[in-house]
Amino acid sequence: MTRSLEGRAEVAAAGLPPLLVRADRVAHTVAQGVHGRRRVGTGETFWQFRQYQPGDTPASIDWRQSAKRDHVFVREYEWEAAQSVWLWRDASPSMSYSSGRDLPTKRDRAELLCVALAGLMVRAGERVARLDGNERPATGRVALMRLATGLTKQAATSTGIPARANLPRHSRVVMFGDFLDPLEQTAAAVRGLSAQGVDGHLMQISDPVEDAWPFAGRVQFNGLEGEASQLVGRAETLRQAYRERLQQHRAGLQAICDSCGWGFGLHRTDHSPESALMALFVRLGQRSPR
Amino acid sequence: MLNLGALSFAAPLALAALITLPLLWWLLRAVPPAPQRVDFPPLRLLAGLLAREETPAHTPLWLLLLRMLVAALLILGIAHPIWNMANRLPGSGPLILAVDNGWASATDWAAKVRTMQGLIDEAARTSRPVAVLPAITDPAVPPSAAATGLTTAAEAHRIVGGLKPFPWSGERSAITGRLDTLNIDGSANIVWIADGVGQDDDRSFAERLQRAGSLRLLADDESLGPLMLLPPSLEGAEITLTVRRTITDGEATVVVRAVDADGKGLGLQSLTFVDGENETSAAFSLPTDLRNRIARLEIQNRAGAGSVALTDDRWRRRPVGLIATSATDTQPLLGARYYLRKALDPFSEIREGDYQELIDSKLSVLILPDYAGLTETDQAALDSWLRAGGVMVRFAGPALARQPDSLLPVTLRSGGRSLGGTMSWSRPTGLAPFPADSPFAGLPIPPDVQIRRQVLAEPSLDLPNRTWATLVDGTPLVTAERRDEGLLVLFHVTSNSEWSDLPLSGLFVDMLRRIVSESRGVLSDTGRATLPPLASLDGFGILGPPTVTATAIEAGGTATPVAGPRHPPGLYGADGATLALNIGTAEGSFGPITDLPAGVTTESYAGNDEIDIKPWLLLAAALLLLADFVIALGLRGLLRPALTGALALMLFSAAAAPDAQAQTARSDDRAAMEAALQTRLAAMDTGVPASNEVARAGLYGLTQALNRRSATDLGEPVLVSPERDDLSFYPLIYWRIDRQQQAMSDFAVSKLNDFLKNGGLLLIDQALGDGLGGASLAQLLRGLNVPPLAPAGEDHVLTRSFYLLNDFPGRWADNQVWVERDASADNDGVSSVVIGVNDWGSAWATDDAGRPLYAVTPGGDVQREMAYRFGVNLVMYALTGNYKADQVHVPAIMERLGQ
Repeated sequence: MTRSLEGRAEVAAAGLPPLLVRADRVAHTVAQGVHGRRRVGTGETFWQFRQYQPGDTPASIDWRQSAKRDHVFVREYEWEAAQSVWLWRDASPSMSYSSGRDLPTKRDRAELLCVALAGLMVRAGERVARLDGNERPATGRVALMRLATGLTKQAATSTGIPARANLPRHSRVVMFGDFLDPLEQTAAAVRGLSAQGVDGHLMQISDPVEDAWPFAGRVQFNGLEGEASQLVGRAETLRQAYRERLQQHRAGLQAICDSCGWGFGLHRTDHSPESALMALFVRLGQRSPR
Repeated sequence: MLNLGALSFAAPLALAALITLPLLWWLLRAVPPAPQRVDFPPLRLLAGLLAREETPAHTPLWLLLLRMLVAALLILGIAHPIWNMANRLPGSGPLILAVDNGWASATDWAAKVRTMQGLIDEAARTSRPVAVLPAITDPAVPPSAAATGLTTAAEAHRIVGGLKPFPWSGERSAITGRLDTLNIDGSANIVWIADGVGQDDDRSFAERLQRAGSLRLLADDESLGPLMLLPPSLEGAEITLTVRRTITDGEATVVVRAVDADGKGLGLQSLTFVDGENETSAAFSLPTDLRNRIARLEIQNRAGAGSVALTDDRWRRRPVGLIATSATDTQPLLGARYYLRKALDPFSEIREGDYQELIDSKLSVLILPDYAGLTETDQAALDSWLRAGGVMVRFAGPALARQPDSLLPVTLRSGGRSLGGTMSWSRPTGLAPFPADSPFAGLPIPPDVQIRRQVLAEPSLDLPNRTWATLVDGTPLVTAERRDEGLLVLFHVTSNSEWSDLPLSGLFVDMLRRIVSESRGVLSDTGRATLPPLASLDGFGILGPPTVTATAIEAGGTATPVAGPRHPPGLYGADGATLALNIGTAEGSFGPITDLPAGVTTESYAGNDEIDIKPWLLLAAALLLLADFVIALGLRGLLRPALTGALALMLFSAAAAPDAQAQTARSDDRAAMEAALQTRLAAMDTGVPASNEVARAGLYGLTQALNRRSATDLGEPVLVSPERDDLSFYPLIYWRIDRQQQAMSDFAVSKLNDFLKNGGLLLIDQALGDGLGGASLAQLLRGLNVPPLAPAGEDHVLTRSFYLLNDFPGRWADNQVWVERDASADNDGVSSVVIGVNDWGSAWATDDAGRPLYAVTPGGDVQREMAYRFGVNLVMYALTGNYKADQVHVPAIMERLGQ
């Protein structure tokens, strides 16, 4: 019996990690809105024919095309500049948190963005790799699969931002995390990478509850990374102070990024991943200020 | 006992617990509510902020007050406060309740029980023994020692709870008889719970009671007194109602209600007692057909067997006989008797059967749908029945049109007439207004009734006189002839919708009603020696199964027996020939209790206004506790929507129970809607999961194949069980027999039979080939109407309904397939069962991805393809019927055309 199309598609999809499928969906939405890199340059993909102008090398003339018409035509290729992009997402226990049943954990969201971004990058011909893995940057579907599998298999650790010494110059680093560690730690890690001539972007992922502090009454707070739990008699009185602290912390992160020429963005798990990804991708598509 | 004005405490010691309240106050204050626990990742950011807040947590004051209130309510409740505590029992002697529980006591029985319980409560508080002496003890239960002697209050409560009025009158001498056996210390408090109906020996009864102690008579506080409804008398067409009362002074009105056998109200009639009279009568004005349906008359808002008069066959509906000419003509929507039955049902009793047995039973009307096979003897028998006063209605049809007989009001022309159609200029016509002398005169004629075919009468001189209804063009539609006492009516159309729309219209019902009312009613003659009890009234006048003590009544006896333990009021006889025994009788005296000795105090039942506050206090405490629980959860932040839902569910589960039922009913409806809105195949639920799964997967694969290859659009196949589901939605049911399957219940078998009879197709697959012997197949199919079978030959429609096939392989090949030998024309020539052993389910079965699940032997893919083709052919056969059968005749037709 012939197998139905859906049947075959299902079999083909069976090997894909679910994360990759979701990320594909997100990336696809964004890719339709972005048309970067569509310009003339050196590369292998045909881009357009153009009339010969004085100054063009004779070797670039497409004789077959020119023979059909009155004018002489030059074959142009699409600009291709493969970059390597290093992706990292925080796997610390504090990322495994979500305040509501219908919200994803911060880690889930970070991984989704990570793979979706990688998907967009791969489509654009870039090479991607995990910052805390030991694979070499690669492109194509296989690289994406490897990335997705590597991300989902990793257990929760609280190692912080890895310090890698051998990143190629002009590569990019994109980091997703809650960056709740003391500012000095983050600053040291970012400066260490930046010193290697690496451009980068930090995206802080937060839960709506972390932003809003909706607590009231008698509340016992438990940390997720081994902090001592804290009992608060009237939690509502702390709201103002907490929000100020959070603002300060974010301003500190922004300052660190600014000092290195890195980008810094905020994303909340109750917002759509597409918008965050779009902003991020546009930001990465621009030439860095350097 | 502690008395504070109108408030008394039955257990005042418990009040001492109130002094623990301050201690409770201190304890509750000291224990703060537990905090809400949350995980919070940015806890690091809080460092340094937290030391600032140090307020010790206390239970809020209002919550504290709430909890104190709960405790106080509990203590007060346990102290058992009573408002207006009654004090009706002087002295220390025992309490003796003399209870009238004959039929008259059913009025306000609940108030009587309440009064007795109040008295027993009072006796319990003053620790006196109690004796309960009813006038009638249950004849079905032997009296126990506790129930007859002096006993405790708790036991007395139990006895009173079990007391009930009996549907006959009790002798008060039974009470005095049992009083004699009691051993009474001192002067007893005797309370006579009276029903208000006087008996001959009331004075001596009261004196006997007074000898044991002080006597108090409790009577209904009502001006009307006990009432008795006499059986209605029939005078011609009128029903006369009579009600008796015990007292004679004052004017009063009662309302009598007529109810049919299903308990639906038919009419009300009010009767007014004139001052000075103890009896009133009125004629009950009801339309005839409603009157025929009366099953019982009852005085409204008066419980009791005396307020009910049952009616028997003398009031029954007119019996109408429907002659069955063939077994299948009751088929829904097509059969000859179907519309007749629907039309007659509202106002007459229908009997069906052979004409012989029908005219032997008593009938008022006999109906014969289209039939031409009456022999001379039959006609003579029917004619003599007719002349003796019967009414016979006949319907025309193809048979009668071919072969008219003599038992007709007019002479028919052979052949009939067709109006409209492709070969005719004429159009279907409607009815003309009924002639003024026709029994149908005045019936409105719906404009959409069209006659398409009819039989025609030979013109004759008396034809206009015999015509009851004509078409617009003047041809007779209904003709009738009087033969001696009898009446013979002919409808010139069929009794189903084949020739006309008449049977579909309301006019048909009205016409039949007029004809039936032309007939004479029939008084049934039971012809039985004894009438066994059929149903009995209980003390409250509710008709139920006969009581165990009820015995049969001798038929033909001179007098109807008086209602009593051996003959409780109710219905006697058998269905169709019943005799009603009622309490109401015009004989005997019916008066109030009078002539009492001096010293008897008389009170009414309403005197008891004691209010026990204890349950209310405890209920309030429980509700407040629940509120406290919810508040405590809220304070801890645990009151999430899910939990709130659970709480609400807990609270309202009792109230929501009927709602839940309604929901299941709705979901049943939804399942039916789904089944009805999309055609789908069904597999029989065999109760064996593995086998069911194969059948389901098989139908899934077949459905996919059908949707891909043909214009059918089938939904997901379903598993159905005749025990559970309505089968009428499915064109084809695939029954893959499993050897572990249990035999079906009779109910399921009858549903399957209905399915087969009304056009369903059942594919029976003995999937295991030789594994299941013929004997056990027969066992499984026991009771199922499997018609005679024959192998499906190469000319059978199954071989060409979609694909051209030579055989019907499944997982196995080369086995014979059996179908109905001569498929009846009712189901469009479609065989109702197809039986084989090829295990088609396994051959069709695919997984969701469309991959076949089982290998087929020996043929491989070609055989599987053939199996699918058989499946497609079968479904086409089930859905489209026999139209492809024409192809079977193509060679013959071609030959005839000279090709």
